[in-house]
Amino acid sequence: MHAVADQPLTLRIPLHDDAYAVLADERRWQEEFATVRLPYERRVLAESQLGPQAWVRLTIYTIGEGRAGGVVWIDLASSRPSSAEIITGRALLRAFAADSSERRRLLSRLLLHFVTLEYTVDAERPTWRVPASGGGIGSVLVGGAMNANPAIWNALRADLEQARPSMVVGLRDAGGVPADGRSDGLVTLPVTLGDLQSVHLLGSLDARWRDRFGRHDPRRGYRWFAERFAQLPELPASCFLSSFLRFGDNRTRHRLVPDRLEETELPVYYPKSPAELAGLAAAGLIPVFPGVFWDVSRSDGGDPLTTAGHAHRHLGAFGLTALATADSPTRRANFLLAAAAAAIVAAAGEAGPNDG
Amino acid sequence: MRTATCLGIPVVDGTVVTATYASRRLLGNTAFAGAAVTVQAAIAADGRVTERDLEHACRLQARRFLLQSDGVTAGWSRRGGGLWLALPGMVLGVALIVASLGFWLPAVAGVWLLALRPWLLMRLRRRRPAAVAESPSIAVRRVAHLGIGALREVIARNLEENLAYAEAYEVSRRLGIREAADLYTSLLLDPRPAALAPEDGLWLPDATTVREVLSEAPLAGDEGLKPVEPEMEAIDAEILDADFEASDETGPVA
Repeated sequence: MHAVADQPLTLRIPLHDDAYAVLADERRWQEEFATVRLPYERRVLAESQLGPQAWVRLTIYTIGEGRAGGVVWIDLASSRPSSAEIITGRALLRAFAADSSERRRLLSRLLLHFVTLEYTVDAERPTWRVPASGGGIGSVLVGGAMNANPAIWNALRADLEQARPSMVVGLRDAGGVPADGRSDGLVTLPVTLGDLQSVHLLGSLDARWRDRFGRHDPRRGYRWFAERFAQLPELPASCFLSSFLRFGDNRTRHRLVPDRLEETELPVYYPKSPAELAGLAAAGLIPVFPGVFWDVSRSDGGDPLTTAGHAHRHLGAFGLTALATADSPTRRANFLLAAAAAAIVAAAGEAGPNDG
Repeated sequence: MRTATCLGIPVVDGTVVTATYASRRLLGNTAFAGAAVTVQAAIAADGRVTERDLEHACRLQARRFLLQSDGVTAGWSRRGGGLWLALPGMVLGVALIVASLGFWLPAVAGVWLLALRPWLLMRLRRRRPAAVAESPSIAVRRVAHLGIGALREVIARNLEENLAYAEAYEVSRRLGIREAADLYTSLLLDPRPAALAPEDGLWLPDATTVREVLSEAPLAGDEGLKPVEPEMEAIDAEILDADFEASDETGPVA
């Protein structure tokens, strides 16, 4: 991913409580899906079990022309699909099936793949549980793993290798994690920095995030990082993702760390204390901009047991994992939609203007 | 290189792969960043779980408990701790400077204790690396486990789920496999492996079980979709005859 300027393109897929309820209602969704699916090319990649009677189907929906060469592959296939993930997938399908000039512009530039995992009609549906109980950033990251079912993962991997996407986005519901406070979520990007630099950066996080009087100072940390790594291509993309997640359409202004959260701003996660920084360092995450973290847990490109990490390492794709952590499922779905929108707009900007 | 153990605990129609309690603790004390772990996958000596499936599940289990660490953050002492350690020395430094009465040696010692030593301690603490650089990986090695083999036999010979889990619970208690005993307790309360908590392990279907593909079972929203038969026009018999005659003109094909 090369430099991404603040794109003139935009994409909003808001999901209010009423819309969430409609998408969660199987009967109403079935009626709507008959129309929604028409513009998509649809393939069933695999069918497997999460338990003896819990059958799920992995489906990929493809849309767009991709004239500018950008291919975005969005994975909503977590090990145990949550209602927020299922509804995020449906909302994305519905959004891109709708006709609007903005979406036409995006679809002319990009080829979009949406990979969804849903229970079959006659399947037993186990109660969804938070991927990892307990607090801390580690518990959030557990939810970002690739699908645990080997049959599904093999199908995902095979399709990734076939599609060769330029960007891979994993959207995951990490549930309401108490340690994460009131934030809606975070985004991690696998980045290859090399062993020495990674270890040095993780080791010096605490020092960089302090002012001259030794107090925890996120502004100073973010500013130091932005100056130090200005030449890395992932930095502008991270900056764009952060501002898009926080401000959406109102992203013309940009503050490194919000003083006060506003109505229009998504409260994304950023480390608010030295203890949280220590947790991030242990997990191999570097805070780059509010809500955006570089995953340097492995020297050759982040955590390989995430879809984004796998794609980054094996296919050289720009990877991104969005983890929703809010208490309410509607807010989690909204965060995942905002992350998907940010990634799609970033990819469209990277692909360049080619509206035909 | 850390070593951890995952157990492939047999259940009806499958296997639940879970890390041992000791391994969870061990992995919890290891930083995820740069961690190198070898996982021993202890399972029954039968071919019900494929190598690849087992590796995948064990890697994800190791990842889970590496990330859910608490010991790593505990290893980072608070920044103020260094200053507290240096404080008695600083007090002594002030005392030495006051008591030096112009003699240079105690005065220099006082300056060292008062300023230079705390400064040096702070610098060193800042540079402490977060993780030891190893070649990071999670490797999996399969080993046969007699106890797990005994549990597999118990599960296989009982047709009733609850009876199987009750007997397997007894056997696992007798063999001292606490992880299995706890798992069977959960399954006695709710026999659906899909309903287990994510921490309890990953369920894998038996490789020997035929994996039915539910291509007939519709997905939500599929009801309106029917395979479209291509519309074919009925071909007139006369046209067929005409084509046949035309090909005859070219002569028979050898």
